[in-house]
Amino acid sequence: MAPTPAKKSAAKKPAAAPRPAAKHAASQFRTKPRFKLGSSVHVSERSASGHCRTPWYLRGKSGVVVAVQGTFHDPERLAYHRPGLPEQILYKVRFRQSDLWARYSGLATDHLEADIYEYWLASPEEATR
Amino acid sequence: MSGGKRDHGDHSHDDHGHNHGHDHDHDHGHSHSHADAPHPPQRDHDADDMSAYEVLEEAVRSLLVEKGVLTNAEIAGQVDLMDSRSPALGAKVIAKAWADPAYKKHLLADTRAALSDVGIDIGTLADFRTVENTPKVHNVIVCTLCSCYPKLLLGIPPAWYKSLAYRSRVVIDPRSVLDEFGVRLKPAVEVRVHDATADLRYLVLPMRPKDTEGWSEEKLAAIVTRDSMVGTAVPAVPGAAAAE
Repeated sequence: MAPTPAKKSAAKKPAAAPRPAAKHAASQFRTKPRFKLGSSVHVSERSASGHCRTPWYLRGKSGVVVAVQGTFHDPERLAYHRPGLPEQILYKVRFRQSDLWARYSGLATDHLEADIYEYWLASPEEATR
Repeated sequence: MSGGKRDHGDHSHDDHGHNHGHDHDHDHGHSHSHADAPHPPQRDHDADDMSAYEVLEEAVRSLLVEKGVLTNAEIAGQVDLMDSRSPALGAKVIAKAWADPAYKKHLLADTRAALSDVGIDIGTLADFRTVENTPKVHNVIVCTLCSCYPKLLLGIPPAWYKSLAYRSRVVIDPRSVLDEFGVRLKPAVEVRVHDATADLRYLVLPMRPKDTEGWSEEKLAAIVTRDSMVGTAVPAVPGAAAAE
């Protein structure tokens, strides 16, 4: 089940934040994204029971935010007949393949990108705490 | 969800197509000797016992109809809608992007709106993103968690896209998988794998091949294959060697 993001309670006022290109599913940012383009982020290594969109192979790995995709209903709650609230900010995170696989055989410039929800991400400082 | 749709959308239809093509087309003067070597009978696709999921799908569907939540006509309509989406639709969009730089920019910036401009409604379940192949980057799409795919543009995904083998190997060893698909990349090209893990569906905008100057959109669309929009192929001019 999704833990409540730390900053949620302080986020009642509409924050000035970039909007996604399409507005249908991602309504509007209800909270300011914690990370911006180019931010280094670390994917939590915690386990999850039940529906979860953060693949195992990315947990504990570090990457860089390459897009703020918008806000979406939380799939970890939607999957259990809940409204999926509060909505969650989704990021596209770019990982170096050689950081993901010890014996990666391709080029050092090869990358993998995945969409990860904010509550799975931490800054490098938070990650080492 | 995708199980029920798949069974209606492609499984049974594929089998019908196969039946007609295979069993009935030989009766017109071919020299096959059916009496000597009869075709083995085509096995009926529903001859086996139903799987637990098929039983579940049928039970839920009948209940939804019985309770008046959905009608059979609505379900058939949804199957028809899905069947109307196919790689040919995506190919038209790619050809337009190749032919019209302003449209290409629009497609890359706001895929939903660009598709809507050419009359393609992708519904409200998931948003789309388009990623562009360049001389430096080759993109390939996967959904490691299930089988997310831009269905409302390209139709039902191929079986291999949903296979465990593709979904695991293309992430760990994309270059070998691309090689097996026959994609030859120039040495320094970055391979960028997109794992569609959440609410977005990805479409690859392939590079327009050389020697296609002056081609009409129709002619261009004819060389855009399904796999080239997933990233497991590169469009090629017939007769020319493909390289990206």
